[in-house]
Amino acid sequence: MSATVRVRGLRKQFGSTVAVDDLDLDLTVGLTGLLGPNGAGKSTLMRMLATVAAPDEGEISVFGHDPATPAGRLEIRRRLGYQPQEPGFHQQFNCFQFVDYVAILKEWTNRRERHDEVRRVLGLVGLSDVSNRRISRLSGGMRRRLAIAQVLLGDPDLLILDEPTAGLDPEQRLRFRELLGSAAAHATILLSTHQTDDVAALCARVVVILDGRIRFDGSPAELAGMATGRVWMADGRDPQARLAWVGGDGRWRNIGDPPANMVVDAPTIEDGYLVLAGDAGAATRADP
Amino acid sequence: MNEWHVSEQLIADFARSPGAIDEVTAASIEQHLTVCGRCQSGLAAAAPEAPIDAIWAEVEDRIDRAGGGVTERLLQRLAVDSAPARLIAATPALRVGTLLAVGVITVAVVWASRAAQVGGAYLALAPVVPTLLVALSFAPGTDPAGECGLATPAFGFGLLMRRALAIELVTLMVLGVGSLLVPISGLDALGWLLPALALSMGTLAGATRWPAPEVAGILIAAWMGALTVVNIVEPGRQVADSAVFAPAGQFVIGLLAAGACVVVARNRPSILQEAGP
Repeated sequence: MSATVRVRGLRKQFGSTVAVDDLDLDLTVGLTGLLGPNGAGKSTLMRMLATVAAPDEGEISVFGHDPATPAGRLEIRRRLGYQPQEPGFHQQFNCFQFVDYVAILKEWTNRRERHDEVRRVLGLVGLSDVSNRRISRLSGGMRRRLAIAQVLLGDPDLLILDEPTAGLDPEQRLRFRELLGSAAAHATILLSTHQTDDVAALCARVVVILDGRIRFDGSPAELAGMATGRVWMADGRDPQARLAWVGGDGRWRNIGDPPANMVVDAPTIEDGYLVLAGDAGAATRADP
Repeated sequence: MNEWHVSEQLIADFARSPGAIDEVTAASIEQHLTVCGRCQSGLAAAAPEAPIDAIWAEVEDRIDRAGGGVTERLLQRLAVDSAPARLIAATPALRVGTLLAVGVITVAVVWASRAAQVGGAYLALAPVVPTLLVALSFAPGTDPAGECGLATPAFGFGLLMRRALAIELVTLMVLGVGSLLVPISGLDALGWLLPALALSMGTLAGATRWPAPEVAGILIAAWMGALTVVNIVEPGRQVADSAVFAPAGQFVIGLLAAGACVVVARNRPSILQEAGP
C-alpha cells in the first residue's frame, strides 16, 4: 500500500533545543498511535504534518503534495482534519458557530449543506443538545469533543489528532474509539496520546518518539514484548526495579531487570513503553 | 356532533397551497380543523412531504443563523453572504474592545487638538491608527479558531488581507467623524486620509514579503521622521500648514498609496493561493 504521508530526514529546532531530529516516517491508511513523553517532539511533528509549522530540514510528502509550496499546502489542507493539542477557541462563539466557522474555512460554501454537516458532526460527538451554548460555558471534556467535531467535518482522508482523549470521561473515550475505528477503515489517522490503553485498543501500529527520534515502530504486541521478562509482581518495591508502583490489591508491579528465579508477569503495552523510555533515558545518561 | 367535513378535493388544495383558496373558505377550514380529528388526519395524509422537509430545513437554518454578533448581522443586512460575513466578523481587530479603543483614541486626539486650537496633532496621529490595526490583523495566533483554523484551505494571506481591509474601512469611518470636530476648516481636515491609506496599504503591500508588524513599524517611523524633518526645515510653521499636507505633498503621498494598492492588486492571485504558516 502506498504511503499517504512520507517523511524523510525531518528536523526542527527551537533555539538550542532540537525538537525533531532526522526523523523518517511513512503513514498509510489505518490508525497509527504516537507515544512519547512531554517534550519528545510529538506535537512538533504533528504541527509540521498539519502544515502549520515548517521544518528546518527534511522532506514531507502528503498525498504526493509538498507542504512547502502554497499549492501543495492547499491540496493537503483540503483533505486534512487536524486537532491541535491546544485548540485555542474564540470564547464568544457557541458550539455551532465555532464548527460552522471552521467549516467555512474548509470551503463549505453552501450554507444549507454546511449547516447539515455541522449538525452531523456535533451529533457524532454528542454535543447536539448544547450546540447553542457558548464555548466559555463548556466543560473541558466538552471542549475536547468540540475540537474533535471540527476534525470530522467532511470525513477527511488524513486525521492528525494531538492528545484528543485528554479530559474525556470513560464513556466519551469509548465513543471516541468507536468514531476513530470506523474512520480508520478509509482514512490515515495519526493519534498522539498518553493513554496507552487507547493505543492498545485502537492501533495496529504504534510509534514511540523520544528526544525527537523514533525509538520504536511496530505493533502494540511488539511494544509490549519489549518488557518480556522484565515485569514482576512482589509484596514490596524491589531494589532492582527501575520503576515500581503499588496496585489496588497492595501488590507492587516492578519493572527492570528482575532478580534470579523471580516469576515474571505478562507485560502490557504500558510496560513496554516504560522499559523503552527507561532504556533510552539510561542510554542518554550514559552518553558523555 | 360535527357532521360536516371538508371534502377530499378541498383539503388537498388546502394542503398544497392554502393561499390559493379564498380567505373565507380558508378561515372556515382552519376553524374546522381545530376540532375535527378526521379532517386533521385527512390534512396530514394530503400534505406533501417535500415542502414539510423544506420548511423544517428552513426553520433549522434560521435557528442556526441566529446568534451571530452585531458585525455579522450588519454585514448580512448589507447583502454579504453568511460565509464571508462570519469570516470577516471573526476579525480579532473588529471586536468591541478594539473598536472602543479606536473611538477613545480618536476622541482623545480630537479633544487635545481642540484644547490647543491646533489640528496638526490629529493629522499626524490619525494615519498611525489604521496602520497599527492592519498590522494587528496579521499578528500570529489571533485567529478565533486558533490552530484549528490555520490548518484549513481558506486560511492564508487572502483571508488576513480581507480582514485588514475591513478593519481599515471601519477605522477610516471613525477617524472621518473625528475630522469633523478638529479645528481645521474644510477639506484640510481630511489631510490625514491619504497618509493613512499610504501607510496602511503600504503595510499590506509589504506584508506580501515581510512580517506585517515590522513593515508597519518601519512605515510609521518613516512617517514620523518625515514630519520631524519638515518641522526642522520649516521652523515655526504649524504641522497642518507644512509641505506634507500641502497639495504637492498630498499628491506625492497619494502616488505612494496608489503604488501600494497596485502592489497588493498585482500580488493578489499568488496571495490567494498562499496558505502557509
